[in-house]
Amino acid sequence: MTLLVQRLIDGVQSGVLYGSIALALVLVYRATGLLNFATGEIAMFCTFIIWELGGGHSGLPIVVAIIGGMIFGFVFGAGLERFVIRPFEKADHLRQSMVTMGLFLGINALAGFLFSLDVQRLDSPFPAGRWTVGGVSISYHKLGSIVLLVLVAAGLRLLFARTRIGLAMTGAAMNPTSAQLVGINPSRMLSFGWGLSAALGALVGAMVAPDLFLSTNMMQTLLLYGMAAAVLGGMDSYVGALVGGVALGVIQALAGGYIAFIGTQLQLAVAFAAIIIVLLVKPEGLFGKRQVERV
Amino acid sequence: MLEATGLSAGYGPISVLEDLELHVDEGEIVVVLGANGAGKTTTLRALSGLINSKGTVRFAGADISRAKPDARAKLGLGHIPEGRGTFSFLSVEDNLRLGGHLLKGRQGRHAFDTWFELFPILAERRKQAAGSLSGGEQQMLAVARALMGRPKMLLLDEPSMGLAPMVTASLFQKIEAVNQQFGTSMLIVEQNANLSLKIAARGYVLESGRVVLHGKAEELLDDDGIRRAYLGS
Repeated sequence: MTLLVQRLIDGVQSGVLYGSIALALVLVYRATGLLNFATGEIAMFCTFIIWELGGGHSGLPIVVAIIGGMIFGFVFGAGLERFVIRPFEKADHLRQSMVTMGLFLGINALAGFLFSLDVQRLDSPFPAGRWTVGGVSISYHKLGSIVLLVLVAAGLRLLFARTRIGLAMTGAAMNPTSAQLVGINPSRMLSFGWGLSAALGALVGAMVAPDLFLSTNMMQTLLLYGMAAAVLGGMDSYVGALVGGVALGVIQALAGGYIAFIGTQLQLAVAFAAIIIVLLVKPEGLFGKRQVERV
Repeated sequence: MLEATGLSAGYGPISVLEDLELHVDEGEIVVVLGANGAGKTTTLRALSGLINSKGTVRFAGADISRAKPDARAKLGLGHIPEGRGTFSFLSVEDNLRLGGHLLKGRQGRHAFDTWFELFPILAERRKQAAGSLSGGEQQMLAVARALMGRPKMLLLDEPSMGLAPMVTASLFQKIEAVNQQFGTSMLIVEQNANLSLKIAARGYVLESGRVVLHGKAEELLDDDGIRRAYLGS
């Protein structure tokens, strides 16, 4: 029983990370239907900024460094949309996705050039140590990152459901022409979406790095899981992204833990098998909207 | 209120409008008639900036010929596009909130009551997704959404399209009521010449992107050519 709970907790924690990257992907995907392959590398770059601000050179408190990294991320993401993606505004999604592939490689190389090719350490904003209840234990860092990322996801949901700018973003994504006609500038909304996505990526990076390591390749596997989580959740749903991520994390942890031949080697395969099954039964994903409309 | 001179527009190499002259005075309802493909929708799209055009468009004293659609909306030019353009996955209320996007303050953006009084059916459907509404209801929603932004002028693209005759009649009544109550100027593109000319002051007839006839609404209603072409008698 304790082992089951422990595995569930581990699954949820990695799942929340997958879900958050999925959320960063969905923020951009919803607006234009573009899959941003550079999502993970943008997050990695911002995490290095956090490292420079905090532990590295300036020596700011880690919480301040993370906030700084997120602000940098917002500007960085919005700027990438404005200056790199927008010139391809009229191109099809395949070509735009190729541009984000290029960004993936470019940002990765730039990070190696600017920061460090060596593996670095990043401090956690949460206290060291573990919280133990009845034989089950979880580090404060893991617990804190679960709570923080779930709160951020909830905050994003509120932003889109309740605020003027959130509604404008949703409207611009759903029907750009009508959005323009009510006075919304869809391009600005798109920049804003990229900014939010990159800021979220920065936060995910700051949650991942203390547990593993900080390096230019840190986000690459996570991006695959994030994409899987986004597809599972339905690509255009914020709730779906997070739920998809957690489902993926839990399936992975349980299958790896209880089915001997899967172990750690085949965990990724199990996750993808789960996705294929979901997509066969529900092609729009768990929370995706089916395109039904009365005309 | 609105004046277009030498307006030419098209899609890529295909030119649709040529040297169009058209104006709408303050508080006036003007109708644009024409067969399919005459350039009616293109006229509205050029006026609201959805497509690029040559020539001059002046609105409320400003030259808006090069302004983007969202900038034109800010100046008070509302456009209800062909096919209604509702945000189909959003609720009726959210559609209206988006219509009030440019209003300052939360209260303004939540001030639905005037429009719910005018279109009571929208109040009943307030939580429903816009895409699940009937055609007539969606058209009312499109009108109400445009009105949320308190426009000085509305461009309406075939509001009667796909609606039952009874629904169309009631919609035109409401359009007229809005014009009288709020003094909103209107430019209505229509196939239904009879109903639209009855609420309008003037009308233009478009053929292959050119104005071929222009006059007072009652004169157009009596014109034999118009009667044959658009009124079926």
